[in-house]
Formats: sequence, C-alpha cells, structure tokens
Amino acid sequence: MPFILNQEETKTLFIRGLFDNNDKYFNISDSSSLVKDIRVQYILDVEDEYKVEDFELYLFRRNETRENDIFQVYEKLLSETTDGRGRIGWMFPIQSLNSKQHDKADNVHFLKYAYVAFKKLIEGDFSEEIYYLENKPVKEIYTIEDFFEDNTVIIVLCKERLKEIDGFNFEHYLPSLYSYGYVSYNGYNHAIGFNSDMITETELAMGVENKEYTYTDRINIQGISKHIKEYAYIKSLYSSFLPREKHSLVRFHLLYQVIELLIGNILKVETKKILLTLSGEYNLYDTKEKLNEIWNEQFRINKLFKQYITSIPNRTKLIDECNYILKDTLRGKQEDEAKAIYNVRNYLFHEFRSVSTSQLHALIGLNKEFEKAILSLLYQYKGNIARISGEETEGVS
Amino acid sequence: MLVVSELYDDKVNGINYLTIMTIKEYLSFASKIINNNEYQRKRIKSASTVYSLLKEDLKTGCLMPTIVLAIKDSPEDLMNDFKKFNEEISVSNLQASNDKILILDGLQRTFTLMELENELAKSNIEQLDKFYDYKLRVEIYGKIRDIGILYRMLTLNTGQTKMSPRHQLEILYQDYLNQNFEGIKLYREKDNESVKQLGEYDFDVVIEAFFSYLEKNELPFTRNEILESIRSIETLSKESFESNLFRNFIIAYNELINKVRDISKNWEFDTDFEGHEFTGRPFGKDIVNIFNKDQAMAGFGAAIGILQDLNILHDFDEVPNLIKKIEFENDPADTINKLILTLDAIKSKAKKIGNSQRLFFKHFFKSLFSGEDEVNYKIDRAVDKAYHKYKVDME
Repeated sequence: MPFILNQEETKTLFIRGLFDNNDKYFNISDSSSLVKDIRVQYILDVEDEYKVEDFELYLFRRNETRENDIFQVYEKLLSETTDGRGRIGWMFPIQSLNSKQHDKADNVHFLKYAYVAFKKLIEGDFSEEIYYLENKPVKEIYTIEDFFEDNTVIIVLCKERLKEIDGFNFEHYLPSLYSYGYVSYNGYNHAIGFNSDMITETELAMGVENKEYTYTDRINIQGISKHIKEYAYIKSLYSSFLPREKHSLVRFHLLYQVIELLIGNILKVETKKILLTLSGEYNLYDTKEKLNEIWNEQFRINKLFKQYITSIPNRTKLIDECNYILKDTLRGKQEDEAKAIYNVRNYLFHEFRSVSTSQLHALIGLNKEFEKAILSLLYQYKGNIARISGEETEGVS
Repeated sequence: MLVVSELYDDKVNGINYLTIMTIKEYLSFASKIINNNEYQRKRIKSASTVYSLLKEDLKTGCLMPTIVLAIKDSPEDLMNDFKKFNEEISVSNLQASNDKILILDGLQRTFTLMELENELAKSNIEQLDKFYDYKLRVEIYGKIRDIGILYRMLTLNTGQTKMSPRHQLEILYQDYLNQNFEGIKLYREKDNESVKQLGEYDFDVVIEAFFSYLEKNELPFTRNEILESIRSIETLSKESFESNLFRNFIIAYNELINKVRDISKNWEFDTDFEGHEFTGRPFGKDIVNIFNKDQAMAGFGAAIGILQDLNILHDFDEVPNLIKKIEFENDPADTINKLILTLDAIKSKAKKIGNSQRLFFKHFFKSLFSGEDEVNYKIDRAVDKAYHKYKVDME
C-alpha cells in the first residue's frame, strides 16, 4: 500500500517512485499531482537487474542495529537438503541503504537486493495497511532513513527460492528471528523484553569472535515444527507478547503457554492412538489406565521432553535455575527438566502467596533459560511420531 | 543605476553601497549570475502561493524588499563606478563581473522576477515594458573578503526560503574548484572518481570539513538541511576577517597529511597483514587515502573548532606550528596498523559507520593538538586515547 505523508497539516498520498539516473534519486509523485514531488536520495551504485515483484519484503526492528550487519539469509532445512545452498535472501539495517561505508557497498549481489528493497519501501510495498508518516520536516531531498525508525531492519526474500520450501510461511520463522533480537516492525513498540544473553549466545554461534569484530555475513533461520504451524499463539508470542512484556511472572506464564499448547497436542495424539487399539482385541482395564495416565499433566510433560523432542541444549542450566527456586519450597529439588519446570509452574500458580522477593528475582534468570528451551521445543517437536516400546510408530494426528 | 549611499561595515570590514536601479538593469546581470553559478541555480519549488502573489503584485509596481549582493575580489572598474554618487551610471561593469557576484539575500525573489519577465515576454509586451521600468533597491557589498561575505550570508539568512549553510558555503567557495594553489586542487566527486594524490581533495568533503570547524561538530550536514547555524556565526564573529580562513584551513590540513606521510616513512597497507581478518576493505591503503576521507577531515575540523572554543587554541593560525610538533613515539607502521584496526573495529560495531569514525577522528585530533601531557603530540598515544574516549561515548 502507498504511504501518506502528514506534513504541515496537509496529508498527501504518495504512490509511484521513478528513478532519476542523472542525479540519483527516486522521485515520488502524489496521487493528485497537485502537490510537489518528493525526492529520495539513492547513494549506492545502481544494480536494477532484478524485478521488484519477484521478491518479498518484511520489516523488522532490533534494539541495537549496526550498519555493517548485512547478512545473507539461509534457511536451515533448505541448506541441509541442498548441500549448503540454502540462501533465500538478504537482510540489512535501514542505514546500510544510505551509506557506502559498510563492507557490502561494492557487493553486486547485495546491491541488487538493496535496489529492490529501496523501491519497495518508497512505494509502500511492504504492508497491506496504509503507512503513515507524521510530522516529517520539509526537505528538498530526503533520505530513506527519514521515513522509517532508525532501528529498522529489512528482510528481502526471493520468491523463487521460497517455492523450494514446502509450505513456506514467513510467520513460522518469527521465533528464530526473535532469538537474534529481531521483532516485527509493528509489534516493536518500545520493546523491552529482550533476552540479551540469548542474543549474545546466538551471535556467538553465528561467528562473532569477540566484542570488537563480527566475522560472519550469514544468518541461519529455521522454522518451527510443521506439526504446530497452525497455532496462532506462537506468532503472537514472538511478535508482540514477549517483546513488550518485562514482568518476569507474566513472561513465565506466556512461555509456559507453549508447554500447555504442546501437551494439549500430545493429549490429542496419544488419545487417538489409544482409541485406535479399541478396534482389535483390548483389555478395557488397561485402556482405562492408559487414558488416565495420558490425562495426567506431568506424564505428558515427561513425554514431551523425552519422546517428542530430541533434547534441549541448555537442559542442565534450566534444571539448576528451577531448583534455585524450588530448593526453599516443600517440593524440593528435581532431577529432570520436565519435573523441574512443572513444579516451578505449580508453585507459582498455586502457592504464589508464598513466593519470596528473591525467588521472584530468580525468575529472571530462569526465564532466560526457559526461553531458549521453548525455542528448542518449537523447532524439534515431532508431532504425531512417538516412540512406544523402543519402536517408532507413526501415530494419527 | 544610481549609487545613493556608502556605509562601512566595521564588523566584516567591507563597504556597503545602496543603489537604486530598474528591474531591467537588475535582470541584465542577475540572470547571468544564476545561470553561470551552478550552486545558485536551483530554484526551490514550493507549493506555497507566496511567490505567485508576489508576481501579481510586481505587475502593478509593488516595491520589493532590498536585494543584497556581494562582489568578490573588488574589480577596479566596478569599485570606481560606485564612487559616482547620485550619477546615472551604466550596469555594464556589473554585467562584466557577473561571475564575481553573489546573491546574499533575494535569490528566490530574483527567480520570481526572471519568471515574470519570461511570462510577460510571451503574453504582454506593453506590461513587460512597464515592469522593466519599475525600480529596485539593491545593496552591494564590495571590498570584502570571502569570510566576511560568509558571515553576512549566514546572518542575513532570515528570508522566507532559507538556504542551508552548507549550500551557502558551496556558493561562496566554488571559485576554488579546479584551481591550483600551494600544491592543492579541489575536485567535484563526479569529475574525478578517485582523488588519491597528496593535495587532491573532494570539494564537498572540504566544504563539509570546514563547516565542521565552524560548527564544532563532526557530524555530516546534508545539503538540504535547514539549520540556524548559530555556532558558525559565533565562530566567525570572533574572526578578524582579515585572513583567508578557508584557504588556510585546507593548506594546514594538507600540511598535516604531508607531515604524517613523511614521518611514517610513507606507510602503506600490507596485504599480508597478520593477526586480523578484515571483513572488507581496510579504511585506507596509505596515509593520503586515510586522511583525505571525509571522516578524518570532519574530525579535524570539529576538533580544532572545539579547541578554540576551549581557549586551548586562540586562533586557527596556531595550527601549522602544532603540526610541526607531531611525531611517533613507537614504530610508525605499528601505530598506523593499529589505527586501521581500530577503524575496522568501529566499522564492525557502529550503528552508523561514518558518524562513528568521525567521532573517533574528532577525539584523535583533539587529543593530538591539545598539548596535554598525557599525549604530548604523540600520534600513538592519540590513537589509544581517542579509542578509549570513543568507547566511553558509546556506552
């Protein structure tokens, strides 16, 4: 959709951007032709080979953006199945479109994507809603940074590449992008809820050697498990709830809803499996026992962590953080992550009156590990495949 | 044209002549000023109806506010003309000197006059003749140095359509383009894609650096940003208006690069650089390439401006002597390599690379020329201190 510039009490709807090759700016005209055109400077070298309609553009924001953080975007699964050729696009901060100081200023591949991005941005081709610009100062020539918040990050993806990913939906990558600190543009709204430790760890995994240099130009993103893609809560969690919520108790609750969602799915899957056995010979008493068992929350949480995922990398730290809170309760320390997290949840919800200030403070550290664990669950969740008696049995969803 | 008054402006050391001339006389040289001067050529488009209203008023003989011009280099014929008080004199000498005339106040009004002239020429010759005969007051500054003109330009910039100070500087100093002086030449970027010899500078970069000195601020100002330029006015108001500050600025900076290149034994970037993997190009491949960039020059300008503000330096003329004092304490190659690595680290983490590197250079030059014991004109120590201060600023 085009954008509306609200300036000096006049609202003007701008539509089309034409490039002036001599002076290197985009000339944007208003729909009525009564208001003067506005000019937006383009300082990079022009590489206009690509067709704008062959790409998708998404806007994100990040607490800290760095001009040199220009990355090729690789999709994890696609990379694994195509021998490393999983590049689906580029992502870069808005200021990189207005500077030749960064490392990619001479990179033809980046420049092609940059031109596509620029054109899409000034024509408003990134949102289905009208984009409003308020109270911008009058200038003879604008820069692209005049139109967007200064911590804006642009992701441009190639549609042709996306066709190679079965059932691609960009929303499924929101958790992965969140782990790097990126939040969707409209959900940002003074985001205060970032897990800076998690972001640092993710960056280290990306190849940041130390505090001074970044040695990578690649970001790997992965989608959530295909078995839970229909749950709208996951999108809301990473696009608005988590970024905006600072209170540790609320954050824990928000994160725990993912556990609830997954064990709810397990209940459906396992119950159907049990009911399927009723078609042949069965023992009614055994069936009743199994159904009772599967209705038990702790049982399902155990199943989730042991059978429905491979493992969570920060298992030990998660248990330690949980036990730091539980050690002073009658529940006592727990030995595995399933029992630990379930007991913490029950303690907070059923015995909140007993929670001390130091335990509430300890929840901050717990939440950091819990967030990482939740990401692992979302990526790895196996859905309708479960191991029973050591054999893999395909269940019914 | 009649010269009706002459007043001496003590502030800028120039003479101000008040003249009365017909619109025809004015346009006979003013339109050439605009057409010959690319920086004055751009008509600012506006949706406002003010200039349309002015055109209508002009057709019926309304008196415009006084237009203010300045003449560079005081051409003798013209100066002699101005001594003839209350005598009808020809504007032919003004026409002949149109390349030396700047419009300080009244650029948009001049455009309006030119547009109306064209319109009437096509539609109503009788009205055109009447229009030509209407009178204008034009103030002309003569026998005034460039720096005085700049000061007047900035202080007079109170018109309806403001010109950015950066734009004003370009107008004032565009004479320096393609001239050689003291081994220095200024190019426009499009004329010469890669200025790389000692003494060759991008005109825009130099203008911006000079503006950084006036504003005591290393950050870039876009051409189209309308600013109050209060700091520039303050800086200039302390000047004697006798010296050629802009010229001295470039000469001093060129001497600085020359000195560093000499004492570093002509350092060049070694592609077998060990111990660090550059993700892109290094900041500069030799001393000239490092220091003729806008980040370094703007940092220099801002640093000197600030040191003057702090009364550590009293005059720009002190700078050449300070340049003579700078030296390396350790191996020059190690120091410059460290400078390159520092700039690379800044590039890696900066929100806006250019601005961050300008900040670093501001701290660098400020430390280098401050005379403080801790640095004592040593380039190595200045690099370390500057990076430390930069990191503190970033926290």
